[in-house]
Amino acid sequence: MNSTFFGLELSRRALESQQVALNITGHNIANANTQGYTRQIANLTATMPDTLPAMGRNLSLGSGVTLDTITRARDSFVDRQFRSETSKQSYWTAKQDSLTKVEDIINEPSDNSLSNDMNQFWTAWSDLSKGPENSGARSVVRERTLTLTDSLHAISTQISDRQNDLDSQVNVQISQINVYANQIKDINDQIKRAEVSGDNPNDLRDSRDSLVDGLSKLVNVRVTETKDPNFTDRQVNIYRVDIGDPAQTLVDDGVASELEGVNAATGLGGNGITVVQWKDSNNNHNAGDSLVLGQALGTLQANIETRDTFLTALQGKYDTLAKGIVTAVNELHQAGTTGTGTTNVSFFDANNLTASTISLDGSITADINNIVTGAGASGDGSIATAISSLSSGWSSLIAASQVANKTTYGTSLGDYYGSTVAQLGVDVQQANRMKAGEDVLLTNVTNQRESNSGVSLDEEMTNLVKFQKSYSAAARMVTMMDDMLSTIMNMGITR
Amino acid sequence: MLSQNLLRNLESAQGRMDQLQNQLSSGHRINRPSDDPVGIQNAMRLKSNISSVEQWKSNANEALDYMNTADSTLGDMTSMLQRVRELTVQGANGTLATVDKGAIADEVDQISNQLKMMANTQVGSKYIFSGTATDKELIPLDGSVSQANGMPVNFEVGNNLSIDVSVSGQNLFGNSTSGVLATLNNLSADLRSGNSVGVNSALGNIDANIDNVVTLRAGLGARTNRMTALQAQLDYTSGNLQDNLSSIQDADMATSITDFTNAQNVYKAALSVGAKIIQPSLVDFMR
Repeated sequence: MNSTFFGLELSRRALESQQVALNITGHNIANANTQGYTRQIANLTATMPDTLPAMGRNLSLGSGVTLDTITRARDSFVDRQFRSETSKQSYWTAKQDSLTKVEDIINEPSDNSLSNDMNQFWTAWSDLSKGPENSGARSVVRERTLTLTDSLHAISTQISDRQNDLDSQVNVQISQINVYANQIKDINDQIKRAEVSGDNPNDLRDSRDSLVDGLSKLVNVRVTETKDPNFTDRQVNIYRVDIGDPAQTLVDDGVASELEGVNAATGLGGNGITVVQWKDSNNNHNAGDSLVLGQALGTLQANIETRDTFLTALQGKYDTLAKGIVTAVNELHQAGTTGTGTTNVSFFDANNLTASTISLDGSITADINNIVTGAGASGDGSIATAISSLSSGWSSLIAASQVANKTTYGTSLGDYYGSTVAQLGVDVQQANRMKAGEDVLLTNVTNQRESNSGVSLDEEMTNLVKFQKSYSAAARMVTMMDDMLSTIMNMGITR
Repeated sequence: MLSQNLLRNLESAQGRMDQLQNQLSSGHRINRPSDDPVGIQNAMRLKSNISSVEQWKSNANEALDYMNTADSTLGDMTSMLQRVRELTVQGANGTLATVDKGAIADEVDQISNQLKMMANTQVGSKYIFSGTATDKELIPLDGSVSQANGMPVNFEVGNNLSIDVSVSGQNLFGNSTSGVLATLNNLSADLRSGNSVGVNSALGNIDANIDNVVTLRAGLGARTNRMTALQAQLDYTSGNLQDNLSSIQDADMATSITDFTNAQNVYKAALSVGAKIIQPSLVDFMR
């Protein structure tokens, strides 16, 4: 026979457990809008039953309820998907962002674009060809040329500024990764201490997951959680974070490796280019190894690619264009004679063959009469005509140059520039489409995660009612026990 | 989750409206290279063509000015030489008094002077009969040696197409033995000296000179016709290219406005549905 007070004890446990469950519900409601919060669940279990021997056999008598554990509603598989999609989505977002900015820089199509400047440059020559003795037309040629060179300079400067921006972003991201690494390491320590004492630190785990989510925007992340073999009687985990592809350990339990930026190469216009490498050794990398990033994963990767490959190639195209303009115009210009009989005069400075340096020859800057229009006679516009016809092709050049230019530039300089712009358009379009696609995928995974881990207020309100009713019922039980005990106490007393 | 989806849908509806708004307010379908990479390349090529064609049109207009001036000068020359021919016939009359012959010689001299003026006709600051040496007179009034040349003055009026707009002054006025001015000088001298044989033989030279002017004028006329035809053709080409450009880069207003209204309706619907979704939860229904 068990104790008379058994029922009171059972009710007390019930009250206690329901109260904790109510508190947990309250915690969930309070954090309904907290970023990275995971819904917590009170796992109530029946306590060990008492065994009653009765008539030669045993009966298990339920002894009530107790709070077993408080766990998070979390699915690590969805987490992994979420992080992998985040990396991809961030890559394309960063790429789209950079490329759109480049698109803004080149400002095509508009009335103030480089193609417009080029067209005006060619027509100025055609205008000059019909009135070579007209110093007004000469000035126009010089001014249009300055507009053209200024545009090229401006674009070139902006491309190299953009590269510089991206480089500083890379540096910022390196320190962000380091901060994440150290924070994850610290939380690992805290969680471990809690786990060793048998605790299940849900909110610390939420913070750690949030940090890893943040990290997955910068680089691709792989998390491995294994059981610590040193503890056999309780669940203690080793938490390891690898980044990049192949995986390189960033945090291994209580040890974080840091990254550092090394200024290794020279970029456009004397820009520094930061190369990312490991500062410390860890499982699978040594200090000084460079960080290997995967394919199209994370903003860091996007920034490095745009900085090193895309912008350099784009600048290269502008340089080639500038070189083409300088050499073709000069070839024709040098073949003619000025009004004063000078031959072999350059129109552009033949030493400056890049978009950032292209400039008029000193003699043209000094005197517009040094602009060659023909074979010397004041009304001869043959050379000017030849230069203006460069707008549509190479037929005015000597045969060897025609072949060489055709190989490099195609039909004409304008065409070459057109295809450069079109190529950029295709790149931006690809980034736009990829980003739109990744947005959808990420949304799907986020929704999946939310439906699993998110707080639904309706559900919590239902729980609230449920636990509250249970609590009331348990309290009623105590009252009932009290009544019962009073009955016992009053037994045998005569009034 | 609902509210996140709602936000995302609202954003995308807004994004569509923004894009259409851009198209409508700029009138262009292509506002950045990524809107249509192939289209923009074509548009840039067309723009470049249009700017060339416009320039050729302006060149052709100026060329026609130039040619018309040359043509009317040649016309004047012909009529003057006709007058000289009349005078020559008159002067060949043996019964004419010396004084009258002198008067005829005076008129011939005047015409000769007038022709020299014509040789130095200018359009703007250009001497049109001096070849490419447009800053030099064909027949310097100070009597110095002519620095003019017989090179063609070419105007660019098409892709690799240049047309000579000038008449060579050297061909027109000829050399110092059989040229127009030499003929007139000899004629004048013969008239004054009473050399009737010389006067008679001048008639043949004048006919040859008139023939020469008429031939050159016919050549110029043919080129003027060609230039006029080219000008009309360039006008047509320019219109064509503008049409092409417009079909590539301009927004179709009717479609864009319809799309915009559509997008606006979607946005409004999303907003009103959103207002209904966000509000209720079990909390509202519990006492």
